[in-house]
Amino acid sequence: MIEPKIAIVGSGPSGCFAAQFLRKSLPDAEITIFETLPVPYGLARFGVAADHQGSKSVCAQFDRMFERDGVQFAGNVTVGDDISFSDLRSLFDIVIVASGLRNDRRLELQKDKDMNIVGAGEIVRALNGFPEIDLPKDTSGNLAPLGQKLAVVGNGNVAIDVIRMLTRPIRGFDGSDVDDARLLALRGNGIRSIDVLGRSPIEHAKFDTSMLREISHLPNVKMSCTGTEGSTDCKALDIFREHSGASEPDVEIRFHFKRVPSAFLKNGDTSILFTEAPDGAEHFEVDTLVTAIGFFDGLPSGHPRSGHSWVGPNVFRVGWAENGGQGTIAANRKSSKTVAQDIVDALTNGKLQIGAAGYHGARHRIQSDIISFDGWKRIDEAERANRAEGRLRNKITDTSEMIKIALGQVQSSLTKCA
Amino acid sequence: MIKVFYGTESGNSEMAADDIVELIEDAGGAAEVIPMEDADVSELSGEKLIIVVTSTYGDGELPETTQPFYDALKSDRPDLSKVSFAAFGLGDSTYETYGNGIDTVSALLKELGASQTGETGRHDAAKTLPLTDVVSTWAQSTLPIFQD
Ligand SMILES: Cc1cc2nc3c(=O)[nH]c(=O)nc-3n(C[C@H](O)[C@H](O)[C@H](O)COP(=O)(O)OP(=O)(O)OC[C@H]3O[C@@H](n4cnc5c(N)ncnc54)[C@H](O)[C@@H]3O)c2cc1C
Ligand SMILES: Cc1cc2nc3c(=O)[nH]c(=O)nc-3n(C[C@H](O)[C@H](O)[C@H](O)COP(=O)(O)O)c2cc1C
Repeated sequence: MIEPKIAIVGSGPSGCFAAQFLRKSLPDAEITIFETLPVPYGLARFGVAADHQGSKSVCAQFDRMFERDGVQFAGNVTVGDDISFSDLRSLFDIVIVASGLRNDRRLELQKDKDMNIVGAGEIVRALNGFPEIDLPKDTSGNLAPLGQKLAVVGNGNVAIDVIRMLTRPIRGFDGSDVDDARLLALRGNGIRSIDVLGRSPIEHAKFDTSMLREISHLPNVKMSCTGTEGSTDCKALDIFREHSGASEPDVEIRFHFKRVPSAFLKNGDTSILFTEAPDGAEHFEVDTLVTAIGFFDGLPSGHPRSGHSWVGPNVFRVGWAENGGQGTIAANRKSSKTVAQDIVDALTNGKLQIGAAGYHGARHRIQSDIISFDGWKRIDEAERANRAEGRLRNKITDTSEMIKIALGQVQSSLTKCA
Repeated sequence: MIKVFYGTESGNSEMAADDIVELIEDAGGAAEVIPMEDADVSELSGEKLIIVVTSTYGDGELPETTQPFYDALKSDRPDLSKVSFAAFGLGDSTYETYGNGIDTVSALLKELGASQTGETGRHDAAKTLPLTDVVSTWAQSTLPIFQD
């Protein structure tokens, strides 16, 4: 019987899958997942788009793992703040870093001061009810409208998620858990056009064609594309050919392939995005520039929460924290499986020492109110109880309210009026 | 021993297969879970009842771990005329090709002579019905062990 004490940092899909595979091979291991938020599941809750509930269905596997298979959730614990990484490393036999990447990668280009540039990941987080959002706010603290004319740099699936969520008719959000107030705030008086820039030719574009097809079927959009001369036949090109689009569209979505941004500059009251492509330079008037070019942790190296320094002989890494923000949930499941197997092999070969104190040693060193899985279930219940017509839940965006509900200190303020 | 084969990408089908085994064991039967990518298709001819579980990916295609199982059946062509099978599929009805994966696998099993017991079970990830509940309802109305 091997009974190692295992700590996992981060309750996103990669951390949860690692726990799931380890539990299958090591029925007697003590496994604790630490999560900075009071709520679990990382980007399965805050990344995967609110109108793509099917892709969130993996959470049912994780619910079961916490409820039945003896994996412990320790929410509201920020490793690096509430407990140091070196403490964690000495208090557990094995530490798995599954902390993901918090921030949108920044676009390097020539620009004037105070330009409206926002991250695509940040928009999706906002629409998923993420607590702290780094987007422009108006004087009363609500999200500011993005404007009528948007440009998106990057055309991967995250870009497509943003484009779809900002254009889909509101009735198309039935059965979702979108944050309606934020959605309306970002849309303002209506987005009229979106220019989408991608470096690669259409046949190598990063989006999945099923994602592009979904946009092409929205009833209120007209899609078009440039930069496809000389491209080989491909599914994406077929989608554009078959798309007739709305006759009086609310939003025009223009994809530009093989086109890259070069500068974003003020011109009086307007902002101009300058771009380059093999067939010539072009510029676009843009209210907000949305960047969708990947993710990074956003922390200076040496910061106590920066995962870069989280290394050691008993430390393993999985998911986005390991691969720089690559891949779907399914792809990261595979890497968690491989790492779990490496750990089991190392234990079997005696390459990892065991005997650390584990959770009970760590607990009193943690400086925050630890939220258990039962605590999360109370938050979950409150969110579901407060759902509006046509919505699955009404996500709580205030972490202190989440904590109070989880600790049973108050009923959700919303529950009381419902 | 009833073999429950699953093919998956994000693990939902594995959970469904685990559930099926548990339900059979709770009813006093014996069953085991086998990942499709580890299956030896040449041994299938001797089975009385097998259960297949798979999701759908891409544009109605098989998930990565179902594909090698399918390909092996296709090239080895074992005689399955004495085998019966039950089928459970996972999908998402927002895709036009909802649940194609299990239909593809079932069609090949039938082509190789196997006969299907009961209806194909289906879970739709776009709906809120929990997978565990859908699996349990299907198993109880489909599997012979629950029929007496
Ligand atoms: C907008 C968007 C849409 C997406 N849509 C899909 C989709 O439809 N389908 C799909 O398969 N994939 C999708 N993905 C990809 C998917 O989200 C990732 O593959 C997956 O979430 C990676 O999991 P992870 O566990 O590595 O990271 P994350 O999901 O980011 O989890 C990391 C967790 O660690 C926690 N954490 C961070 N630092 C600390 C700390 N110091 N202490 C404690 N906890 C910490 C975080 O709070 C978070 O919960 C999408 C991604 C984005 C950004
Ligand atoms: C990229 C992608 C493509 C998909 N394509 C289909 C499809 O064509 N038809 C379908 O019914 N479901 C499709 N699905 C939904 C999955 O089959 C569903 O989420 C299932 O529960 C996944 O099960 P698994 O975890 O066992 O792989 C797709 C899911 C993803 C992520």
